Amino acid sequence: MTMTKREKMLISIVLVLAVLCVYFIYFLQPNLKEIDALKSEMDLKGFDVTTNDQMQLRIQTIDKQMEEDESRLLGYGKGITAGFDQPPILCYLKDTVARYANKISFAFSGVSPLGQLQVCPVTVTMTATYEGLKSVLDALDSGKYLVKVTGLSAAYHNSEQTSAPGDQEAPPVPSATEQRILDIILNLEFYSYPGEIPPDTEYPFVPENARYGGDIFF
Amino acid sequence: MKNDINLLYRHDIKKESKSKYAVIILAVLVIIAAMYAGLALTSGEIAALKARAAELDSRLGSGASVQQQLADKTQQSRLLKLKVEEIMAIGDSKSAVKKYLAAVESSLPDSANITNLVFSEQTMNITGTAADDDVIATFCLKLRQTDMFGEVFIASSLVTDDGSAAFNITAVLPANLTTSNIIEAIEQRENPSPSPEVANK
Repeated sequence: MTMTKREKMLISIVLVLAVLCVYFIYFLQPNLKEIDALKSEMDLKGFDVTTNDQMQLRIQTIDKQMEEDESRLLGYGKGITAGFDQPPILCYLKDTVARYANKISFAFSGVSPLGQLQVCPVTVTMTATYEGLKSVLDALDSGKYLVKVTGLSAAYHNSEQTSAPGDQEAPPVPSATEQRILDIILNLEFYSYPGEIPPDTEYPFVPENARYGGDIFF
Repeated sequence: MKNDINLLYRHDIKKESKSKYAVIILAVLVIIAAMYAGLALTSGEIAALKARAAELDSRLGSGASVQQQLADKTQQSRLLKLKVEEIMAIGDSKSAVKKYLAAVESSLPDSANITNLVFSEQTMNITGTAADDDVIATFCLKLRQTDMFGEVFIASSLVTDDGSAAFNITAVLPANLTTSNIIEAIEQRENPSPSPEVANK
């Protein structure tokens, strides 16, 4: 069987087309599909990387903000101790009140959490002159603990006491205003951070030569 | 003789078929080259993309930990900020009683004196004696003019045995002296509880 020239040409064209189809279907198209898949995967990963970078930036911003907050905390919270250390607070209160007033009682309520802090309300009952009261308030305000006055009640003292409290020996001659002794109830709040009291805390009020271990009841 | 002369162009069949084959071979070669180039280009692209994907993978390797780190830092920062705000709020309001006391002192006329003074939560209660009602009214007015108290109110005025006037004045403090309210407000602002409808859902 002999083929005409046209038939030969047609078969050649068909063969070429067949080869091209096979090439496209089995070689080129899978590659193109893989490229498409990789590109969409890259887009997703690129988005993830951008998100990651943004998170890193956010972390850096937060770190900077935290540094600023820490320094602010050092400034504002210098009177706040870690853990509620009651013994030195009692001594501090005793010393502060004794300088300007006559202590009657200190009543500590329980320590309770207050936001990120913990608070111990203390009721101070004392007698003092008005000037003494103002001095106590000043001393507490500028003292080493962060303490807030949350209530105050001051009334004329019932008995006929005329000497200024806080001066046990040879009281100075008081003026007319200073002679008025007031019964005072101060409501205070001492603030501290929750947590343990640092183990290396020193307590200067503990007597060095004190002896311990005596009879409990005698 | 003359009639034997062939004027038609003489085809060189051999030469023509050679050039045809050459063209066909050239075309086949071009097609093969194009196919190879297509494959090489796409494979190169695939290799490059895979390398880039591996690089991105290595950068993303700690993605989950970064997310966790961010969550931890955000929480720490929020708590620290809360702590600072709360301490600042306490610090700002800790001298409030002193200020109120100074305001009362500067408003008290000479002919009046206080026998009982109470600051409690958001109220101030003053009991005292004055020469007459004019003095009490002056005291009330002066207290109001300090702009430190709201609703300065004369609750009572009584004539005593010695002819002077005993009075009771109440005033509303601008802020509650109790810290728990301030702290609760700050905490609630930072951690708004979901509305009941949202919670039910």
